[in-house]
Amino acid sequence: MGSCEAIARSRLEVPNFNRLFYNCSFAYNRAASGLDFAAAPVLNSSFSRSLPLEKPEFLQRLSHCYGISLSHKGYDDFETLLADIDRFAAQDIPVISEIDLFFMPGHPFCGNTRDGHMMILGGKGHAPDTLSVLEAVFGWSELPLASYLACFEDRRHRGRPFYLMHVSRDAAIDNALSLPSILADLSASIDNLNSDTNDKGLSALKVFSSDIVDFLKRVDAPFIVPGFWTLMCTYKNNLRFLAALDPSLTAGAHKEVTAMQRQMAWLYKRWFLLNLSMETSVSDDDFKALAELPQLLATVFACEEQTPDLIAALRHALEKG
Amino acid sequence: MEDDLTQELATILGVRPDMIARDVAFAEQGISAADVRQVALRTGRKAPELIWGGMTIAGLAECFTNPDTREPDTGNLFAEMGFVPGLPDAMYYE
Repeated sequence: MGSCEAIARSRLEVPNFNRLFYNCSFAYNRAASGLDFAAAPVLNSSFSRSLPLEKPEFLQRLSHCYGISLSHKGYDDFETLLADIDRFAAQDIPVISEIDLFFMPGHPFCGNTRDGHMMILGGKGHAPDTLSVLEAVFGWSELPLASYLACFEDRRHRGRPFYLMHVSRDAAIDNALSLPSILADLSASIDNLNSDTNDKGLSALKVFSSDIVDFLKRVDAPFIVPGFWTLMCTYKNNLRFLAALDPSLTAGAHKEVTAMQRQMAWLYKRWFLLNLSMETSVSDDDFKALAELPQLLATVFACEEQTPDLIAALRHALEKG
Repeated sequence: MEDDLTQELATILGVRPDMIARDVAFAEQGISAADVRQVALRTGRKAPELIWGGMTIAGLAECFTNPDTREPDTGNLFAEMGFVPGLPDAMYYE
């Protein structure tokens, strides 16, 4: 959704999407064979978040809060796709394309794995046979048409079309998020964190941390966990969400909101550092960057154990008014 | 020996200089896009190269060459070209 927000900010006068959802959750998709490399440096198990919104609710909130509508078109023919991209570029209309980040030349994992991702298209690139694309990590880049075609064919092999997406806005709509939506998000976070299964919540974090510590004893090569980067983004989003809450809703919950902001800020920094350790170890091919991982994970777990109670206290205070 | 950019960002981010990657620096909570831009101006690096993680969204928006350009009136262009409302499952869940 970063690409949608970028277009909304720059073209549609929506300053942010901060009110869309609040989320504290963990999801561990552990390979049955245990933690190992899938295609080094990428591990075979993901550790990520579990978003509280299904697609219909997400679209409804996008429309209700910000007047944002999304439309899409599926392509079965590459030449038709390129012709439409040319047409949008000629009119300076930004459209979003799905494009696997790992088809980007220069990415450390290029060719190693697959990933859902979206980029903003800017039409033909300056170099022959390239597309100009805007991506979060790379900024404006020239993507070889051959890479774009490879991604297109990958989707076709999955038996589905390749999609473009357009973002539009009804500027008259600018509503606050309703209290029931906020309470539902907080409840979803509490339910996830308190789950007693090993694939969700704090139980999952405990198992994952233990697996990582064991894995570090077995290997001496840098690695990265799929999905791990989403956690720091989620906590950053939570901080923005709390800051954007309608003051009329939080008048009686100042203490709880402040406590939650402090918790999210502290945890955001640690999840950021954890992710940074993995990214740095891979980019520098330096296993030593992972030395602090076990201690950091232990520190984070100790703090995360307090999160469900803090969310419950916030939920109670908001509900009480 | 760390270069100036690495040192400066490490100071801003509150991490050890050796934790700053060579090619992509990392923005941290409390660092505004203006901060990153200033670093970029002083060091001659492009702001998008410095922006990652929490700063991703602001960085993307500011990458547009003309941020004042507003969406042109496209009328029914997208409907005529076969665009349909909503988001396909593949773009939300995959």
